[in-house]
Amino acid sequence: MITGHTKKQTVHKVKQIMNITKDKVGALIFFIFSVSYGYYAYQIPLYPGEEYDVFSSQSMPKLYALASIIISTLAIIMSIINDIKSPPCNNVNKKEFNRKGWTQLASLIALMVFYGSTLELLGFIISTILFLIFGYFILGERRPKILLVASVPVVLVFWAIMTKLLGIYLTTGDIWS
Amino acid sequence: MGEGLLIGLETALSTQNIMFVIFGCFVGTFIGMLPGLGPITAIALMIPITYGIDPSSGMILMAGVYYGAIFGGSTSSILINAPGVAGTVATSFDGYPMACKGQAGKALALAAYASFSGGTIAAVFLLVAAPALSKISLSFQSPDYFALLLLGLTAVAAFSSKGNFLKSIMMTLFGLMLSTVGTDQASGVERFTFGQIDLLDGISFLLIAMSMFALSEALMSILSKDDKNEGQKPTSSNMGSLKLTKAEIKDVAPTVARSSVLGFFVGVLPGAGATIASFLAYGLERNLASAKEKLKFGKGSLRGLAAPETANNAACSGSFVPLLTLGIPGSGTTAVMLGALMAYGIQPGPRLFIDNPEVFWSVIVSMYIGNIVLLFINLPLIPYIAKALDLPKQLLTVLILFFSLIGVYLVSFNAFDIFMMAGFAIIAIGLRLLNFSMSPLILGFILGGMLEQNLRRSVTLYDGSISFLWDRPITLTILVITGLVLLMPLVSSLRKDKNTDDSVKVAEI
Repeated sequence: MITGHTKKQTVHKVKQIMNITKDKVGALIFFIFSVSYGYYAYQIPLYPGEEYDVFSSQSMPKLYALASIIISTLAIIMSIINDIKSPPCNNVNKKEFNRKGWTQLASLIALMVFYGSTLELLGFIISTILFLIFGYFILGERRPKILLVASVPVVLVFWAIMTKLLGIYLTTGDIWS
Repeated sequence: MGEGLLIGLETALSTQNIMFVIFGCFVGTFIGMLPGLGPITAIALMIPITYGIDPSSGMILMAGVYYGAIFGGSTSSILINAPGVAGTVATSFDGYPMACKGQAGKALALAAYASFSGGTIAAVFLLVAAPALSKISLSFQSPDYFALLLLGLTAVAAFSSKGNFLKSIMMTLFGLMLSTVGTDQASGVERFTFGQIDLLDGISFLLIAMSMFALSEALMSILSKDDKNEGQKPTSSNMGSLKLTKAEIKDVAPTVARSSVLGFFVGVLPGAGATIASFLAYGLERNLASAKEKLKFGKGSLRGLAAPETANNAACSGSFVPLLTLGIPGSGTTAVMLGALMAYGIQPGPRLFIDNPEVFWSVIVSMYIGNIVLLFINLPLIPYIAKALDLPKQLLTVLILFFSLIGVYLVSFNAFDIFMMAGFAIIAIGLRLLNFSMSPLILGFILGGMLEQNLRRSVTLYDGSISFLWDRPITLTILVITGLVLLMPLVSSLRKDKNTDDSVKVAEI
C-alpha cells in the first residue's frame, strides 16, 4: 500500500524528471537531430556494387549517427539522474528576458537575409550602405549624421580597396544592367 | 635545423612579412580587447585577406593575430575586468585589482613582459621539439593517424569545463556530421545535399568558423548588453607608470620560468590550451607561495598576474607543435589555422617540414617577432588602442557582421552562403544559450574529412578487418591513451560523487 507520504515523494520525483532543464533540452534536440541524420545516412545513394565494399559512402555517416544517438541518450539519462540527485532550484532568480536585445537580434538576422537577397540585385555599394544604416538603426543609432558617416565612406573605401587596389570584382547589381 | 632557421628568418624578416606581423598584432589586440570576441573570431576575420597572399605570409599574419588577440584579452581583463578570451580570465584575478589601485600601467607592462618571456621560452622549445617530433611522425601510417585524430577529438572534450564532457562530445560529433555534407571525395556520391547545387562542394570551413564564432559572438553581445561590465569604461586616462622595479622583476622571474615550461607542455597536449594552462599556472604559483604571499593573491599580486600571462602565451606556442608536426590541431584556434592551410593546398603534418620548410620555419620565427612587436610597439600604444573600446558598440557590432558576411562572400561570390551564415548563426546562438561550446564543433568539422579518409584507408588496407586498431604498437598505444582520456572525466565525477557521499555521511554523524 502506498502511503500518502511516498506517493508525494513519487510525484515529486516524476516532476523532477519531467522538469525541463537546459541540459535535457540540448540532449533531446541532439537526439532528434541524430536520428534524422541516421535516417538520411541510409538514404545516401550507392553506386552499383558499392554495397559490397568494406567501406562505402554510407559507412562514416552511419557510425556518426550511431555514436550520436548513444551519446545523446546517455546525456538525457545523466541529466535526469543529476536532477534527481540535486534538483534544480526553482527559486533561483532567473535572468530577466531581454526583450529589446532579442528583438534587435532577430531584426539583425532578418537584415542579414535581406542583405543576401539584395547584394546581387542592387549591387555591393547600395546594398551594403543599406545594410550598415539599417544595422546601426536597429541597434539604436538615430543621429542621421552618424548613420551616413559610418556607412557611406566605409563602403566606398572598402569598394575602392577591393576593386581598384586588389582587382577583385564586386557585383554592380543586376537591376542596373 | 640551422639551415631551416635561416630559411625561416629570411622569409619572416622580409619587409612585407614584418608588416604583416605588426598589422596582425594590432588587429588581434584590437579584436581581443572587445569583450566576447576571441582569437578564433580574430583569425577567421583575417582569413579572406590571407587568401590573396602566399601561404607563409598568411600564416605569419594569423600567428600575429593569435598573439595579439591573447594580449588584447589580457588588456581588457586588466583594464575593465572583462576578459575577451577564456585564456585571460585568470589574468583578471590580480590584474584588475592592480588597475583599481592605479597600477594599470604596471599590470599591463608586467603582462607584456610575462607574455614575451613565456612566448620566447616556448618558441625555443618549439624550435627543438617540432622538428624532432616531425621526424618521428614520418613513420606514422593511416591507422596511427586515425588513432591520433580520435585522441585529438576526444581530448578536447575531456579537457572541457566540469560537467560539459558529454556536451563537448556531442558538439564534436555535430562537427563531424557537418563535415560529411557534400560530395564524397572517394566515391563521388552526393551526401546530405538535398538536391542543392550550392551544397555539392560541402560547407566551407570559413563559413562555419565565421558564423559559429564571429557572427554569433557579435550577436550574443547584444543580448548581454546589460551585463555588469557595460558602463565600465577603460581606465586608459589613469594608467600609472609602465615601469617595473628590479626587485619586482627578481620576484616574478622564477614564476615566469616555471609557468613557461608548464604552459608549453600543457599547450602541446591536444585539447588543453591557453585557458587550462593559465589556471594551472595560477594555481601552482598560489600553492608554492609563502603564507604571506598567498594572502596577496586575488588582491593584486604580481606573481598572480605573471603566472597566467606567461602560461597562456607559452601554451599558444605549444599548441603549434601538434599542428605543425602531426597536422592535428590541439585547439579551436589552431583548427581554424589548419583549415586555412588546407585551403592553400598545404597539408600540415610531418611532410610540411620537408615539402614547405619556409612555412614551417617562418611560423616559428614569426612567433618570436610577434612577441617583440607586442612588447615594443603594442605596449606603449595600449592607451590609444584602449580608446577604441570607447567606439559605440552599435557601430562595432554591425561592422563585425558586415566583415564576416563579406569575408565569406568574397571567397565564394555566392549569395547563398550569406543565407547559410544566417542559419548557422541562429543555430550557434541556440547552442550557446544551451551552454554548448563551439570549439569542439570546429575541430570535428575540420578533422572530419581526415578521419574518414584514414579510417577508409586503414579498413581497405586490412581487408575489412578492424585488426588495424591493435596491429601496430603505436596505434594501440595511442588508442589506449584515448581510452584513458575518455575515462578521465568519468573517474573524476565518480570520485566527486564519493567525496560528496562521504561528506554527507560525516554531516549526518
